[in-house]
Amino acid sequence: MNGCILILVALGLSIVFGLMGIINFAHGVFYMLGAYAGWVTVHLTGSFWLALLTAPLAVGLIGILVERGVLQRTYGTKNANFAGVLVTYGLAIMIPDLVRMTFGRPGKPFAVPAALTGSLFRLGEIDVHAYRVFILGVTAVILPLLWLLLNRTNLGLVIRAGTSDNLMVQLLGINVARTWTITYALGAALAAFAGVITAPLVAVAPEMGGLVLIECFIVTVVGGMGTFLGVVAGGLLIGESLAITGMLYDVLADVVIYLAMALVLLVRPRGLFGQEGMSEE
Amino acid sequence: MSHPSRRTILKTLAGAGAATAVSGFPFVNRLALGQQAIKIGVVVPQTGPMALEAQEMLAATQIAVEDINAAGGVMGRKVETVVRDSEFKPEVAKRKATELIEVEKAAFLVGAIVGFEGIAMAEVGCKNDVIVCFFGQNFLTVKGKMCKYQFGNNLTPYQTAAAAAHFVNQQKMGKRWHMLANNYSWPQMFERAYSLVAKQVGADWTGVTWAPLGTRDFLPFLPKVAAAKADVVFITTWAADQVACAKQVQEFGLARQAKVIHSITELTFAEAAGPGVYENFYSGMPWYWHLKDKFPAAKRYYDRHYALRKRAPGGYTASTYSTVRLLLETANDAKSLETDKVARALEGRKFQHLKGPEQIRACDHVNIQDVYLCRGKAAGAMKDQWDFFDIVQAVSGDATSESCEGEGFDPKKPLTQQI
Repeated sequence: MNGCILILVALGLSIVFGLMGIINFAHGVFYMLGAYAGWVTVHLTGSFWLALLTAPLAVGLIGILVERGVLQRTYGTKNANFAGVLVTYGLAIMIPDLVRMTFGRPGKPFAVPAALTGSLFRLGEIDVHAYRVFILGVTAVILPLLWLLLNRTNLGLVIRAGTSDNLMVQLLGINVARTWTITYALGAALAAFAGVITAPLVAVAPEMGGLVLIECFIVTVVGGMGTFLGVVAGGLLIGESLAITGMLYDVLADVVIYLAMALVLLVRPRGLFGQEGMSEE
Repeated sequence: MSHPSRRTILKTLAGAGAATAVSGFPFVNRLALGQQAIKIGVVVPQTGPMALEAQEMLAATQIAVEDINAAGGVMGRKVETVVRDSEFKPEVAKRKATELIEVEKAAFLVGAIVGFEGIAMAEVGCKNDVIVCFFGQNFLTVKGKMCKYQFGNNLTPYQTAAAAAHFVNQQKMGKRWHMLANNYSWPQMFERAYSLVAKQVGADWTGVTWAPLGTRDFLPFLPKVAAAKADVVFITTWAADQVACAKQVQEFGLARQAKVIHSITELTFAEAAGPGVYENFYSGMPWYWHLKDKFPAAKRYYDRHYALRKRAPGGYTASTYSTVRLLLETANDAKSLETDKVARALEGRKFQHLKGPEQIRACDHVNIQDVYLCRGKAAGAMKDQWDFFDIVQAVSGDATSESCEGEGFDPKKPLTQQI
């Protein structure tokens, strides 16, 4: 499960960084907002399935507001990348407090949907539960769709081109501003989707985005910032490292992801799939 | 016989007049003493992940102070709280505690929910010779780590673990024990306690499965727990980790294989997990709101807390109320605000607030108190939104507290005479 969640959240982080050059500290917040938007939907309608749709849409919309309303003001300024870091870091502090004020504490109860409760089959000593298979399944569906979007559509072409050479894309007369907005919203929606599918298994709380963000930074660094395959490989590597260490030698689980990152960076300083020139203007 | 001189008579009259003015006229008395309210400094994380718990504790503090003031205050003086936000950061907790002592002239310091706040506050209190009382677990009860002015009214990790272990033993739940815990210093204290009690009662301690703090997915750790083939699995996690762990342990079906005991829980965690998630799990608590049906004082406190916060108080909240009352009642009885005098009066003090009799043990300042082991209810069995548990057993504090020798203290001497 962890690998799937990390891939979904880190993909958004990676795409935003690849195209916009922003280290988006607010990304974990979108993951948390996804869980809350899902809770609101389930609370109002009782439908988890509707939440899978409404949470990414609502948070994608918030992503548009953040990009248009806040981030755009930093573009073209001196040290724009640093300004982006500061602004998103500020949002990462502010938004959880807004959520606390709006929804109160403690976290919100979020149950596994009735149709996905219970064990599907047994794998050795472990019951494999329907909900975990569902998480694997939706990730397996979303990844190819996203790959198609990035590799077989005009939008994807612009995003990929922007990731390689942003300045050249602008010189070709393409409306980069709109692409950036769409990309930022897409990243937020992906994180929100991950948030809503994780919610039944964890505590839905305002601070839930903090730790996932750290792990996702590690995933993107290991995989190579701004690369689709890199994030998938990085997510699987980090997620599985955590899982296998937990099973075999749990006392190392605390440090294994940092060790994995150090090892990968020693061998490939740009990450597993990172290439020279990416995201460098 | 010589007559007193005119000067002597004048001096005597002036002295008598002054004494009468001070003692005989209350308003003058108040003016002379300044009659300023006694300040109690409170440091809690009003912002951050423990903000709700902090708000609950502030409500409990307010109720305790109101009770004391209604009973005449401390030595006739009103008590008021001065609250500071630790922001859930040790350096901020330290700064705010210092400010409360140096600027606000607080007579006592109370607060801290988690360990790092407690350490920060204790450092400031000890340095300034001001009594510090924790709201959270009293985890510093080891020689060399605490000063003579530190007190903890809440449970120690040892008490919490030993209560769960004795409960398991008394309920004959099985003799093979294992623990699943987050890997940091607080749960490590539980490991020591469980392994010691296991030895005492002849149980087989199979060790610990450690999950990193902040674990989102506990599933990879559960096969190791299952492989231990334990009769009883103690879980020592806190806050969001405990909620995720409870959900996933329920999903994994561990309770079908072993008795699952949360070493300690809070009402807010069960609330965040949702109805039924703690079903069939046992959990330790310093207090549970069902005690209102047993103790009239608990009922009065419950009603006032509910009126103030529109929520049932949790175990830590009730412990907070008791902490503040204990401190102020002791100062009143000692007729002093001097740190040394109040500290000595606290040592060995017996009291009963919201549950059975309690006593601050003189040699280590640990509160010898009952621990409540509760069983989680099914969603359908809950009578209202706070009715997550039923109390199964109160485990006596006498059986569960580590000896002073075990902590490195002389059991025959009060702590203030040992440090």
